[in-house]
Amino acid sequence: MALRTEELMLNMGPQHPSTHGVLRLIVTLDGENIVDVQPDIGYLHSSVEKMMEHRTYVQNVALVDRGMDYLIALNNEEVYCLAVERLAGIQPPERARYIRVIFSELNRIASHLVWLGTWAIDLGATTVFLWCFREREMILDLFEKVTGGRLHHVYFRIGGVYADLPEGWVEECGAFLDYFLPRVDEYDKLLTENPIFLARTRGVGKISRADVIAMGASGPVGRASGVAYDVRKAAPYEVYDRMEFEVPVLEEGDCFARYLVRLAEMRQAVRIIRQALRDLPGGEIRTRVPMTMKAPRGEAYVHTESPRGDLGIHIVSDGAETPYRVKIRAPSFSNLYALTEMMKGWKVADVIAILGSIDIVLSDVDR
Amino acid sequence: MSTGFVAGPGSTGGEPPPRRSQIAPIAEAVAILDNIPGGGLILTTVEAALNWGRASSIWPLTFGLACCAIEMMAAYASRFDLDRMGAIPRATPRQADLIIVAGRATIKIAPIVRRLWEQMAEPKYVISMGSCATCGGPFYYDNYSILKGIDQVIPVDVYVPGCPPRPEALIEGILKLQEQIKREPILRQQAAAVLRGA
Amino acid sequence: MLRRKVTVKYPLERLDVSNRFHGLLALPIDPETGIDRCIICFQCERICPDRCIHIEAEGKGKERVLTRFDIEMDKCCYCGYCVEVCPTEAIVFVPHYEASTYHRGRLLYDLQDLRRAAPKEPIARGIVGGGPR
Repeated sequence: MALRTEELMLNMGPQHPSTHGVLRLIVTLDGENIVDVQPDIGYLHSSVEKMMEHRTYVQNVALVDRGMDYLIALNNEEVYCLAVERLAGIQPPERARYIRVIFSELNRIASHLVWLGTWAIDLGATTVFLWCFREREMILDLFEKVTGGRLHHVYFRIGGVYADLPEGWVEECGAFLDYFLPRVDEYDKLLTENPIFLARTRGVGKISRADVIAMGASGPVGRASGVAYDVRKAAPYEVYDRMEFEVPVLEEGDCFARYLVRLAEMRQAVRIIRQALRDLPGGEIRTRVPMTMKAPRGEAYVHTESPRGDLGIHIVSDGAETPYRVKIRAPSFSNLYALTEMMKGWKVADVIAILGSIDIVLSDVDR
Repeated sequence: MSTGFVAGPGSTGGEPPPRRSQIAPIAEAVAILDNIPGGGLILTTVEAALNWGRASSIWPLTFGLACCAIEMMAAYASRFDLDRMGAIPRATPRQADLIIVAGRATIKIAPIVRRLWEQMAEPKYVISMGSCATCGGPFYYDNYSILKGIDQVIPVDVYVPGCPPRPEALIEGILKLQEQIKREPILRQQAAAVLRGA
Repeated sequence: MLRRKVTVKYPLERLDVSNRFHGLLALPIDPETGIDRCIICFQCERICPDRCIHIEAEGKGKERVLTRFDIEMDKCCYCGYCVEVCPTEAIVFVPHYEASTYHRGRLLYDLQDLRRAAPKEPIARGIVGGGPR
């Protein structure tokens, strides 16, 4: 005879070591099984879209670093600069576009390393966290030599980049990539065949292809469920149309597939950076754009492939020094929608594994 | 600050009976020792030893809000290794001595930060890490949702500037907090508090 | 096990930060004139996204002197726009980052603080530099 139990509402967060920020999950449980999950967001709402209306186009580059997803400051700068450039009809020089590709791919690796480390620590593997952050510090050193910042850079400018690469940086970056690629295999060895890790991730948190499309989830979450969509291939920006790379797509749609997709993305990012370093042209790095630039009346939408997915920005201009309206299409926000579908029917112990696997950043969700 | 918590049946049953604190005899001894000639010297030596122990084992709460939390994680990770300072991250406020407010606090999260701080056991310390936690930083003007400094909600001991501060800067802030802890007359403070309450 | 250790024993040994590092801001003194190079053009004040620079000046024409140059280091986001727009390189980043204090008011750097923080006298106001003011 089945024992009838009452449903239990469990509150997880906002202060919880595994919520990756200030997210509150209201989990409805039937015994140990999850019936429903409702995320409560807004704990990090920083009203960045409104603030951008009060700052000039140039000043806003400093704001998108912090106000949007803080782990991928350079990808945020890239999408913002591309949007303003499309709005104002500015063409950045060739060298600047290659440099932007190099830096946004390096930032993709850094972001995935943070994700891998924190997710592994949630699942009980502390070593991976220490190893990932060891490699991440090397990327941050590379960033610091060029941009002067570790996390927030303000390096991309409207019409190019701020400063040229210092002497010897290209060789240093190449040496890092040679060092880094075997490290990815190390993470692979540490986790992919680990029976505890497999038991906690394989088959857990499945989401179907149709659901992913219906929820608007993108990036590695979508690609792990068989949605072969990557903005770098579908609508190439910068110089991605000249790069050779593969988009890893898996069909399983579980936590393990999302992990494999991100590992493969790190390897592909290394491949892209190597090509960009090889083809890096000389010449100018910045088109002359006045610090008090005014964009012509109109609007522009640009979307790029950030480490979390399809990151878009829509700017409306009324011809003044400041944008009239800015709207950010945040990938984490859409991916968070898919969370409820993923979690239904799983045990309460899987909440952490599934939440970590979609790699949300709360600053990106709330903005 | 309603969070939906309902008081249990035991907590509303009238005044609890007056109970003498277990450390009250110690507090009285401290007070007597402080007043006899030469006793202050002994007391200060004992306090120095106690404070050395407290300063070398500050356990911070793992509570990150925004960008600075990533640098805080980097400080715990392999290169900077905050554990060298005796700072072992704890996941619950009941076990923590220190809360590092890392990142911007919104008006929505402010009561929760306050509640976490209230849940921590005395003596407790607060480090405000980064511009946003110190005064709102880049989010000070034209903004409707960010708190203009965490010190409007909880008292801050050390301010670490930077946006975000380097992990070294955070470690420097913790070293500064250790200096402050080493200077505190902890026994006398506690004795005064106990005697006032008794 | 044989690899080089990655941990930096911070207060004892330090990393070399890059020369482009966005540390604290300073107004270096020109050794020829004995005064900073600021020409009071207010460009940094205008470009600052956080509006944390406050400049006041007295006098007219060539006799104009700086009476106030305050930077609220607690509000600053270290973006580097002020350094970029400065026509005379009067305001610069120094590669120092240790400036934590016990009081928020001490993060308001006035003209004297900014000149003192300049490269000639390296440590701004850290624990190495003799503690709080």
